[in-house]
Order: sequence, then C-alpha cells, then structure tokens
Amino acid sequence: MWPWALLALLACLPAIALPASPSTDARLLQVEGAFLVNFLRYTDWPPQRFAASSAPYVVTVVGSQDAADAVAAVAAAAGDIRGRHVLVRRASMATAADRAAASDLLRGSHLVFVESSARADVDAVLDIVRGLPILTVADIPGFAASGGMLGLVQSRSRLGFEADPAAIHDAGLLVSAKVLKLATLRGAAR
Amino acid sequence: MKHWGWAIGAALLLLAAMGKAGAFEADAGADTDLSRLANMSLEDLMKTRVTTVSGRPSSRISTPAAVTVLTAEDIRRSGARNVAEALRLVPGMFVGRVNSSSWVVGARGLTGSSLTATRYLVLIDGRLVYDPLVSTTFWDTADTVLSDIDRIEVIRGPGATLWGANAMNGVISIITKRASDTVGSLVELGVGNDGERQAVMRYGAAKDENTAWRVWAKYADHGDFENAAGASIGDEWSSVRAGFRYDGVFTPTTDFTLQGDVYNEPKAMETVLLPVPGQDRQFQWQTTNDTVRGGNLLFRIRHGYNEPRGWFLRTYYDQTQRDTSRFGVSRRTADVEYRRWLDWGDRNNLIWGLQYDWTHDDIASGPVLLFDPSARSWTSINAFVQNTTELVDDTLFAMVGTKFTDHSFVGFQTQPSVRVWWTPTPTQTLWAAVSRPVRVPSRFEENGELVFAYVDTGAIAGGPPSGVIVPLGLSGTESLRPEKLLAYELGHRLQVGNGWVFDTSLFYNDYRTLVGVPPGIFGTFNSDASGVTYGLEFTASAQLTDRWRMEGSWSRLVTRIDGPVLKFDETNTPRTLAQLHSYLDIGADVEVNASAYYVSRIPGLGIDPYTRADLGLTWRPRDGLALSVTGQNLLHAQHREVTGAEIPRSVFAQAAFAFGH
Repeated sequence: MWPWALLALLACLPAIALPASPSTDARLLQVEGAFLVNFLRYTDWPPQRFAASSAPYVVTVVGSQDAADAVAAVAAAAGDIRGRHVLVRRASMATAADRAAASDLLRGSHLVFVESSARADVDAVLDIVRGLPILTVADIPGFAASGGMLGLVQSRSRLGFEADPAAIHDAGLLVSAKVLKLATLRGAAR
Repeated sequence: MKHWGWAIGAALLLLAAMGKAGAFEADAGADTDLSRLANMSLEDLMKTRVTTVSGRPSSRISTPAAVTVLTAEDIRRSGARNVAEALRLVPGMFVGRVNSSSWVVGARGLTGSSLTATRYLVLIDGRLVYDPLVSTTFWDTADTVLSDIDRIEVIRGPGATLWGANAMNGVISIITKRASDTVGSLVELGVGNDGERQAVMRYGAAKDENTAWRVWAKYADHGDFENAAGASIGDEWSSVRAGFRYDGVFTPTTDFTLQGDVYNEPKAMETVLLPVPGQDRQFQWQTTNDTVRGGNLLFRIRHGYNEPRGWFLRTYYDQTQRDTSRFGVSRRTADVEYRRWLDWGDRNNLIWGLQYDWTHDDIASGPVLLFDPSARSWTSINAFVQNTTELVDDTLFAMVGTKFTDHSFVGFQTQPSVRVWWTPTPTQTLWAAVSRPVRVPSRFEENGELVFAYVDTGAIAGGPPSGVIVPLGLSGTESLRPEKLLAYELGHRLQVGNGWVFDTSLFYNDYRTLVGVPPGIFGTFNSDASGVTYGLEFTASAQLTDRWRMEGSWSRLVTRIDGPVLKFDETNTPRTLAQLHSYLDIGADVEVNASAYYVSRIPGLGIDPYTRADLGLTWRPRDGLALSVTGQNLLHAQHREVTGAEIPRSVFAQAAFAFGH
C-alpha cells in the first residue's frame, strides 16, 4: 500500500513546490510595468521638468488599481533609474471631481500610462497633456497611430510596441534610438 | 506497457514533489521574478511570455481530442426528451433503442448488448451513472430535466487520464446549469401519440450571481412498443424524478454546490421469456412490473476556478434499486475525489488528483441471472497526474499523463496517455494521441451466471431423462484479467471562412485483452479474446446565413475479434453512421429543425439499414411561451434498431411556459 500512502501525501501538498506562474492579467501588467521602466531609462526630458537632480520620475497610471499596483511593484523592484526613484500614482477619470484632480496629476508627470481598462479616457488624457513634455504610453491598440507616443501591442503571447517619433519630437522629448529601433513606427496623419 | 505508465507517473510525481529547498518556493520566486523583470533589457522583455497555458482561452479548434460538445441549444433543437435520445447527435455514436425503456449507446464499436459491457463511461456532474453490475448504463435512470443541462461533453476515444478505468472507448459527461442560470419558474407539458406524456416543473431563485438554488420535478410516461407481428411487447413505463441544486460561495474564490435527486418508476413493465428452473427446457412468458428507484446526493467545493492554481473536492452518495424478473440488485456507492491544478514555469499546467470509490451491492438472483456471492463490496482507488506543456509558443503542445488504479477485482493498473497537438494557425489543429486504457470486468463477468435454459443431463445427451436438472449458461469467473487497449488516434480540425468547420478523427484500437465468451456460448467468460477496431469520423458544420446552420457527419467502423471466442462484436454494430441536421430560424419567433440519420445494417442482430428523419417546429408567440411539435422516425411507420422491438413513427407536442426571471 506504500505507493498509495505516497500518492495521498503528494495529492495534498498545499504549498506547491513548483514555480507558480501568476495569473495572466497580473503577468501582463508586470511585463508592461517593466516596459515603462525601460522607457524611463532611455528617454531624456528637458531638465526643467525636474525640480532637483534627485527629484523622482513621476509615473501616472490611468486605469485599474491592479494596474497601478503592478507598475508600482516593478518600479520598486527596479530601484533607482539614472539616480532617480520612480514615483507611481494612479489617476482616475471616473467622476467629474476625479477628472479635475486628474488634470493636475497628469500635467505633473513625466510618463503617463493609460491602461486598457481606461480606454474610454484615452482622448481626454491626450487632450490634457498635449504639447507638454510628457511621454504618453498605452496598451490600447492603435494608440501610436492616433496621437499617442508609445503603444504596447500583444502578439502571440508576447509584447512589442509601436512608436510615433513625430509626436515624441513635438513634445520636446528625446527617446533613445536603442528604443526606437525596436519599435514599429507609426504616426498620426498630419 | 506497465513500465511506461510507471515512468510517466513517477516523473510527473517527482516534479510535483520537488522540495521547498532551492529556488522553487512560490513566494520567494515571485520576488526574484519581479526584480529580474524590472532589470531586463527591452530585447529580453519582448521575448517574455505574457500568457500562461491555462490562461489562454481554449478554443474548440485547438482541442486535442475527438470531442463533441452538445450545447443546451443543440439538445433543445434535437427534440429529444431524454439524455439517451439526445446522444444521437454525436458523430459516430451508435444509439440503438432496445425497447421503450432501454438503449445501447456507444461509439467505436464493442457496444455489446443489454447485458454485456459497453465500454463508455457516463457521468452526470461527475457522478458515475454507469453501472458496474454489467458494465453498462441504464438509460431510463440516467436522466434529468433536459432544460437544466448546460452541455453534454462526449469524448470519443479513451477519456483523457482524468477519468477512471472503464472510460475505454469514451466518456459522456453531462453537466447541468448553475442554479443562477435557471432562475424563475418553468413548466413544460408535452404529449405524444403512442401514449407518451411528459411534465416538467422547475423553480429557481438567486440571491446574487453566486448564490442560487432550484428545485425541479419531471414526470414521463411511455407507451409500449410492438413487435413485427403487431403484438405489444409489454414494455410500457413511467418515471417520476425530483431534485434540487444549491450553489453558494464560502469566499469570493471558493464556491460550492449541493445537489441531489430521487427517482422512482411507478410503472416499469417487462415481458420476457424465462426458463423454468427444475424443468427440462421449459420456458414461460412472464410479465412483471419492475421496481426501479434510487436517489443521490452530491457536494462539490472548488477553489480558484479559472485561476492558474486551485483545487476541487467532490463527494457523493448514490443508492439504486432495480428488481426485474431476471434479477434484483440494490447498490450503494460512496465516492470522494480531490483534485489540484497549477500553472508552473510559464509553459506548463499540471493537474493531479486522488479518488476513492466504494460500492456495495445486494443481489437477489432470479431464474436467469444468478450471482455468487450475492452480496459484494469493493473499492477502487484512483490517482492521476497530467501535465500539459507549451513546447512552441501558441503552436505546439504536449500532454502527458497517467492514471493509477487499484481495484478490488484486478489489483493495480496504470493507464498512461500521451497527446500532442499542433496549431499552426488559429484556425487549424492537428493532433495525435496514444493511450492505454483499461476496463475492469463487471460484477456479472466476475460472479454472475446467465442461464439460457435448464436441462436434464440425460435428455440433453440424447438418452433417457436422468432426473438431474442443471442450468446451461454462461458463467463469470474471478480469474478474468482486465481488458487492455492500446489506442492510437489522429485528428484534424479546420475552420474555413466565417462559418465552416471540418473535423476529422481517425482511430486504431488494438485491444490486447478482451473479455470473451466461449464459441458455443455455454461455459465461462475468459480473457482469451483480443481484437482490433479502426475507423474514422468526419464532421462538417456551417453557419450558412445568420439564421441557418447545418451540420453533418459520417463515420465508418471496422471490427475484428481474434481468439477462441464467440465473435458477436464483429457484427453487432453498424459499420457506417451518417447524419445531417438543418437548424433554421424564421423571423424572431419560429424555428424549423430537421434531422436525418442513417444507420447501416447490423448483420449480427438481423437489423436492416434504415434512415430516420425528424422534423421539429417551435413557435414563440410571446416572451416566455414556446410551443413545439416534433415528429420523429417520419420515414417509416416503424423500424427496428437493435432487437425485435419496432420503433414507431411518433409526434410529440410540447408547451413550455417560463416566467418570473
């Protein structure tokens, strides 16, 4: 009967001893967060966007709390980027009161990330930050072809991204060629 | 064969048991994972997977098995009033109506007859309704309210490792709807020619999406069938069935279900020719009102459904009693099953579990069927483990698994299975599988004796009567070995354009050991038979317009039995089956559903080929009311399917009222 005793024991192992994968959504958000960290690393903002040499990068996430938490977790794990911390906060566009507050949060950011659950707010966000040196990123299809700067796209279980170099240039930002060469280039019709 | 089962099982269990030492601790893993991710280069990030094996939605196209899913809609449009009849829709499935209350159901041959084994496992919500007494399913009791069925999943071919021994040729799994999907009141009343009547009542209520319950009752009355000479065969029957289901949650991620039902057949007439014990070759007709009743209770709790990791526990108790003129049996069964699943390593999904089944029967022997011992309890313990790996992103997958069974009748058995599938595009799949399932002999094959006649030992030898009367029959033996099958399957599925789907399955079944009957039929069951079946099933379905869908299938089967045995299985099943269905919606309120079935000759049973045509019309004059008329077997006034009973042309009209939802 010993094989049965062994099997019974194994069947009840509560702490699974295998490297468990997080759920698909959590995984996706974490990888997107890692992309954002890389965009921070390889983008130059005009120096006056930082109050001091130690002022943090400010990332504002428009979307679900899960998305904001995932991005914050990855940013924390990344540590300092070019000597600066990364501050992650969430802006909600749900109510009129939220939108008023969001406007300030967004304008004070270096990078704004619109996550797919907030896709209805994309245009409103782009209106708020237009003309400012703020890097706009989203994981909504078609973002880089309709006013956004960097759009994350999923293809066969992997993420890639699209870029609109003209929009980046118009905002006064400089994104490293290392990044742009990995992107699929798009551009809004002018 | 035993060895590769062991090897697979051991390898998988080793994986599952790898210790807490090292980098495999779940939480620590998550942290190093994030840190690694945060410091990865863009190039590496672009190579990182964002979906998991079980996280991706599984599509019909990519299922690596010969699976047919009958949806609630398919069942409704078929006009079937019980589960056995609904199974006619499955490609390659032979459904032969034996008489008013029993059917032979099975695909890929070796479907036996009403007393011998059919090698198909049948489950309702995970509860076994396949009876181990004669290894078959009594379809008059394997039934429920059809409107409460969410879907019937039929796997032709050895059930993937998840199901137990005896899922040799396939599995029929009937899954009922969640209580939150059956809220409100439903009343169905139907009447047909030939004395068929049916009434269904159901009431359900929901507190919210997760907490709901329903109660239901079904009454069905069936008239008798006739033989070719026009005489009644005395098989009229009726059944009453009532049950309930309660769904609830303990935590947001842990849900549970409690369900049960009881049934009784107030009328279960049977007229059979029985040998008279103690008299030399005397037979007499006997008409009895059989007793058929039972009940069951099932509890299931599930954590992390649709999550990458979770567990599941199910337990049930089932009691049945069936007293016929040939024998009487009462059975009690208790079953517990525990299962866990886990996504691991980005590319793998592991499922494993343990099941304990106990059953006890008490048999009152009759003049035709004797059992020694007349009461017996036995257990079977099953453990299974199965791992699915994504070998090449989105395109190549492999599933390896095995089941270990320890059954009182045959001891320790392994049932390994390997499956590979390739989906080069989202619209096409090619799959292949090799499995080695096992069937445990039935209680009848172990301990039964089927008496064909009582004879005088002297008279039967041609001399003067000796006065000693003995039974002449077929006996079971406990020395039978389990049946073993090596099954090879190949399949292809293709979606073309917007609505066409083509599905092909080929199989080659090498039955290494089969339970056989001596060539002269008298004697003892033996394990000297072996055999081969092979064939193919082809299905095409098309959504021709918004409102018109058609489905058709064609299947072919070749059976060969070897060994010093009676080869009835070679000629007991039709070689060719075909069906064509048309489902048409006219306007928003009317449905026209037409079906045609072709069954080729069954030489061993003297059945001629026949084509059966059904036509159903449903009209919904207003919300909550559906009126339908279904005509079945319209082409022939009557025809035979398996035995001498003539299945008549029939018309059935039904009104369904739904309100309060």
